Formats: sequence, structure tokens, C-alpha cells
Amino acid sequence: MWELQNILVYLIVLAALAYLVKKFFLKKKRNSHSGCDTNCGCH
Amino acid sequence: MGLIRFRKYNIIALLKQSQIFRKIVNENINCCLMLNKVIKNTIAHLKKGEKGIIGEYSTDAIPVKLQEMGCLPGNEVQLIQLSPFNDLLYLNISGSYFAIRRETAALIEIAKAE
Amino acid sequence: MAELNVALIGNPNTGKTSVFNQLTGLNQKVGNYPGITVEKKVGTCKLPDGSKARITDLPGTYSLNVTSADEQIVVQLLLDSEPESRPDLVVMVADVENLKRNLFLFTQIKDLKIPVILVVNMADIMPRKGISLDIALFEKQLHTKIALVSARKGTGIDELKKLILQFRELSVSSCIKVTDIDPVYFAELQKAFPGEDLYKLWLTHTRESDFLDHKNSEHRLHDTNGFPERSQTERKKMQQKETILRYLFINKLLKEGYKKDLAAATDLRSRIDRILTHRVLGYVIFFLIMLLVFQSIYNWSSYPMDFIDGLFASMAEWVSNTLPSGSFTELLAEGVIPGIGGIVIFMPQIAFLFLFISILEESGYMSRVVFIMDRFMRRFGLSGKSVVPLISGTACAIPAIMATRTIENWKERLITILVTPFITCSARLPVYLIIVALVIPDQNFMGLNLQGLTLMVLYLLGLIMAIFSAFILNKILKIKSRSFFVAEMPGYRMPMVKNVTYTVVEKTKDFVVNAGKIILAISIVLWFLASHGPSEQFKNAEEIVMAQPGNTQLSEEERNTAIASYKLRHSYIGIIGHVIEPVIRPLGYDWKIGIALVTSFAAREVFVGSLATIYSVGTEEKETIKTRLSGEINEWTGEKTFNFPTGISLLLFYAFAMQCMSTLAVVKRETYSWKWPLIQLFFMTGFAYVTALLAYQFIK
Repeated sequence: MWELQNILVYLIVLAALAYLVKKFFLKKKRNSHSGCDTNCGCH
Repeated sequence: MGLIRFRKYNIIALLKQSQIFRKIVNENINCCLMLNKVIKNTIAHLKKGEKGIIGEYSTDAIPVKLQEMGCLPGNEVQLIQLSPFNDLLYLNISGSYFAIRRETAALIEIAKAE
Repeated sequence: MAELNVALIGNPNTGKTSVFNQLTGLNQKVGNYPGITVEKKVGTCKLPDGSKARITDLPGTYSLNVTSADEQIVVQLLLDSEPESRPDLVVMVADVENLKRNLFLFTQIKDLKIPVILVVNMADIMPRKGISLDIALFEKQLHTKIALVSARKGTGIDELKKLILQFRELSVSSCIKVTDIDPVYFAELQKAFPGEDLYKLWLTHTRESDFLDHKNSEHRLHDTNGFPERSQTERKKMQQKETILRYLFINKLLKEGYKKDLAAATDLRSRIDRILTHRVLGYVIFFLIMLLVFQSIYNWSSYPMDFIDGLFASMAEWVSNTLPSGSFTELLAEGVIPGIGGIVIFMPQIAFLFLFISILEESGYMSRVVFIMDRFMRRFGLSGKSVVPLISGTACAIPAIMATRTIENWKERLITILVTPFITCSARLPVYLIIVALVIPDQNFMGLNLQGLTLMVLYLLGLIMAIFSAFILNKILKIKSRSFFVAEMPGYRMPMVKNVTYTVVEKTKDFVVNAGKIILAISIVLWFLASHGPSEQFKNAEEIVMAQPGNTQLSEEERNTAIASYKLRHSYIGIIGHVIEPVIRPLGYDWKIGIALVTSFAAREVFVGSLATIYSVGTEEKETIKTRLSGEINEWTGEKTFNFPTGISLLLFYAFAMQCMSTLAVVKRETYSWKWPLIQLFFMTGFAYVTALLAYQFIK
């Protein structure tokens, strides 16, 4: 029981970390891209 | 008195013929109006509730958006309300209601007041 | 079959959003919060044959001649270089009372050769206002199909759906001949760009960019193909001619097929206007309305907030008592539940804020505020239209910064964007609420509650700071941007319950789901870092504490507390916290507050959740967040951690610091460079640090 809980905790913490990394680091790339999108001239 | 008025009118008429000077006239219209009320009348000179017909104006100085709202020569304009400190003019131009700043309004002539 | 791609277009204040709500129901998505900052509202609509249409609600626009950032978005979508992202069909919403101006946009869209359906909204008021419409004539002259709709009553929507389904039968012929504007010019244009559509060329060639940063929009006239471009003056002349041509066509049509009894229309409007824009009464009413809004947010939302706080405390207790003990249970009781509690607790005030803001906008009152405030705002380099972002900034800076798109002048717009984050947003509110409750006595001063008074002072502080920095920026920034101002004054309308409810539900849901995910993830990571440590000291905490002389006589409860705090100090988070402590100690914070401070740079609202998580690790009893914080003792001074000087210092820090990644991302997107968000980040945070430092050292 104790072991199972530990494994579960590690998985959840890893998932949370992965989520944060994705949100704040991969996001920026997409953002700079959309920055060009909203700029005019790309017709 | 009559002579002064006549001469002033002539100068203005000359200026009007030139495209470039016309802009200057429009920009300084406020000042001109203070000198002589006969020369021109603009939206900025309407009184609250008063109506007029929009005359010619220099398209350079007037934002396209204003034209699209219906501010075109020949349309009727009515001053609905002045903002506190008289800075904004709340107009009704042929059924569309909007507010513009005094400096923009001073660029739009009224052809004839009713 | 691919989903039908429908774009919903219309002038502002035509009830476009109501039509959108009627078509899609709650199947809509708006991204505002951390990360997804999409300005497009997209929803799905089920058509009569069972197929689905994807409906995009575009920002309200008066024309396709781009003069503001909002219009830019619309034109961009319609002229998208990728054919599959261009809409298959445009549904254009018009207000039956303002048909003339609405049809102007209609004739322009027609020229793009995209199938258009004309929706004439507010059809229910036609008999009352004495309006009659010759639909057959309109359909014939405009080469389109017309749906008479009342979004308020919900009538005509089914007919509209049927028309959407039959969009292939729509004609794509134009209403006016574009070449009539200037045959010579258009012949030259066609010669330089063979094969291109003339109207599209015309649109891209006459585009204005006053609302943009000029340096970044220089490329707008690139690639002229040796085409002898005419001067700005001549182009504007041609634009006027175009406008006149369109209105000639529209006026002729309206004369033949549209009757309106003028006397019935304008009476009520002018009577209300006289009061709301009165030079004295106007301001008094505005002030009273704001007072009412803020008062009710505090008074009404405090009850559900207390309830939610208690609920989560008892939930955590229940979990730790009921589930088998182990690290997963601890994660739930000490990490996840307090973390979620830290999000859900803001739901009530977010909902109230958006309720009031959407009522103010829907009713048409916001435009009157713009009208009476322009003069005042201009003194500080802002526009009357900055009032809307500044007011909605009390909910959240992100939609507020997007609302600056209606400001035509780039300088005024930039200043508004830069100062809006000073306005007290709803994410600061929970931080304020909890700290005020801890350090300000719940007493009355001259009949006013001291805590409430402090909150009001904090709001004023944000506003004053925003206006003051606008004033400074106006002096510093050397941007030449032609200043003009056109603000529509819409008619007064009873806010629609459905629209208001949707806004409130959507925004609250957005907040809880999007901001919540981040807060939850941070809580989990924090909990892990706080309950695990690298060293032997952490592992053997129990023995070390027990071995200390004097600790043997402690009661079991005291011993547990001692062990827990020893563990926390030697956990990962404790180590990180002690590294940053020197920086924040002069402000009166201990390392735990420091950790919460660092995490709240992701978003301010994380602060309370972080503190709740850090302080709950290892404690036996699950209390409410408030009692837990008030019991904390600073290990350096031996006093309460949240005493008066620290509290004030924290309040000032949160009032001024730029602690919101999503706001920075939006500012970057709206200003097209990292320069402005970085300036914001360093200036605001630096200023916050200095004020908090001075305040603490002075009061201490």
C-alpha cells in the first residue's frame, strides 16, 4: 500500500512538472509566432 | 470696416484655390473664425441641439472612419450634447450617433445652418 | 465532411454576440487566462441536417478599411493566405435601426466575393419603432439572403440556420463596381498585379497603420511591383469617393425599401443622455455606480468565500482521516486540496466583477463614461476609451489589454497597455483580503470599517499609480501619432440576461480551469519539494530533534510541531527559501513568504495557495487558511509572521509588482516586441520592491 502510494505521488508530481514546463516554455515559442500573425502585411 | 472685411475675404479666396494652402486654412479655421464669423462655420460652432448640413472638407485631415460613419458632404448633422469642459461633441449624423473631439469637428465645415 | 467555417461579422453594438450565443449556446471557447490568449471566440452550431458549423465571433468592426487593431484582425481573417482558414461563409449581423451604416460594411464584404448572409437583428422592435422593410427588394439588390432575427426573443434563429446550410446557393456578386472609384488607378493596379482581386489589392494598399507601432509596420507597402503608388492625399480622396459610392447605393435602396417613423425613436435616448452625460450629475452617477460595484463585490462575495474556505479545510481533514495513511494521502490533503481551495475561493468575486462589467457594457453606459472622461484622461496621455480597459482591469488585465484595441491612437493605446497592470485586478484581491484580515483590526473608524477602508485605499493606490505613470510616460515617450477619436454612442438597451450569464459563466469557468491548472500543478510541485529533502538531516529529523536537550520534556503535540518545522527547513523548498531569504528579509518576509512570492510570479493568485500548501505540510490539524497563517511565528524575531509592518509591506509589493506571466505575454503580443513587457516587469517590480522596503523599514 505504502509503495503504491509513493509511485502514484511520483507520477503525479512528474505530470505536474511536465505540465508547467509545457505551459511556460513551449508556449513562448508559439507566442512569438502568433506575434507575426497578428502583425499586418502578411497577406 | 467694409474695406477690411473685403480684403480678408479676398485673401481667403486666393488661398482656397491652392490645395496646399487649403489645409492650412482648415487647420487655422478656429483662428479665422475668431477674426471673422462670416467666413466659415464648422461643426465645432454648432450650439447644443442645432442642426446643419455638412459641407466640403479636406479628406486629408478627416479620419476615414468618420466618413464611414456617415460624415459626408451633404448629410445632416445635429449636435446632441457637449461633454463636460466642451471637449467632445456628441453628434447625430444621418442617424448614426457618435462623439468626436473638438479639434476634429473644427475641420468640418457646415454649408448652411438651418 | 469538413466542418463549415462561418465567420460572424458586424458593427459593434448590433447584438452580434447575442446572435452568437443563440447559435452556439454554451458550446463556445474563449481563451483569456494563462497561456491561451486567443482573441477569437469560436463556437459550434448544430445545423438542421445534423451537421455542424464552426462559428467564429469576430471583433465588432465598422469597415474593412483598417483603422484599428480590432479591424485588423477581421481583415486578416477574411484575407487569410491559407484558403482553408478563410471562412466559407460570412454571417453579417446588422441592427435594424442602424441599417444604413451596417450595410456599408456589408457592401464591402460583398466585394471580397465571399458568400454573405445578412442578419437583421432586433426585428422585434420594428413595429414599436414604426420600421418596415421590403425584404424581397433588399435580397434582390444586395444579392443575398436575409434572416430577420431577434436574438433577445430568440426568434428567427432556426431560419438563419437553414440559410447557413444552403450557403452554396448564395450569389457572390458585388453591390458596387470598385473600379468606379477611379478607373485609371484600378487599371494600373490590375496591370501591376495581374490575376489579383482588385478590391483586395485596394484594401491592402489603403490600409492605415496609425494604431500600430510605426517601426513595426513599415513593411505594409512592400512589394509594389513597380506600381506607381499615389500619394496619401490622393488615396484618401479615393477612399472618400468609395464611401460616397457605397452610401449612394445604400441610400437609394433604403429609400425604396425601408420606412422608419422618426418621431418614435429618439425621445428616451436623449432624455437618459441628458442625465448621464450631465457635467456634474454625470460624474456623480459614475462615482456612485463604481462605489456600488466595489461595495457589493466585497460584501456579497465574502460570504461564499468564507464558506468555500471552511469547506476545503474540512475536506482536507476528511481525506486525511478517511484514506489509508501514506504519501498519496498526504499529497491530497496537504497539496492538492489546499491548492484547489486557493483557486475556487476566488470564484465569487470574479463572477461578481464580470457580472457588473458586462451589465455596464451591454446597457450602453460604458460609452457615456468614455464621453465624460475623455477630457480628464487626455491630460494624462490617455484616451476616453482608456476608461474601458481601466475598469475591466479590475477584473483582469488580460481582457483589459485586449480591450485597448479600440483606441485609434498608438501612443494613447501603448500608454493604456503599459499602465493597466497597475489597476487592482481580481487576482490581487484574495492576497489583499487575507493579509488585510490578518493585520488590520476589524474595527470601525468614523463609522467605516477599517478593513474595508484599507481595501479601498489599495484600489485607489493602483489607480493613482496607473494615472501617474501614464502622465510620466506621456512626457517621456516620443511617439508621433496622429490623434483622432471617434466613439460610437449606442442606444440604451436592457442588458440581456442570457448574454450576461454567459459572460459570467464563461469567464469564471475560464479562470477556474485555466488558472486553476497552473495553480494546481504548482501546488503539487511545491508540496513535493516541501515534504522531501536531500540531506540526512531531513531523513533523520525525528532523531535529531529528539536528541536535542530540552526537547525530551515536550508534549507530543509540541514535539510533532518541532519535528515538522525542522523537516520543512531542511526540505528542498526550505533550502531554496533560505537562499533567497537575504533578498526579501529587508522587506520583512520570512523564507516561506519568499517561496510564495516567487511562485506568484506565474500568477498572483498562486500566493495564497502556495502559502496554504507550505504551511499545511506536516501539520496534523487541517484548519482554514486564515487561522493557519495567523498562527505562524517568524523564526528570527519570535513575533507573528504576519504582523502589521510585514503585512503593509506585502500589500504594497502586491499592489505594484508585475507578477503575471500571462499579462506579459499579452502585452508582448499587442505591442509586437519584448521591449515593453520587459520594461513593465522591471520597472513595476523594482518600484514595488523599493516601496515595500521603505514601508517596512519605516513602520518597523
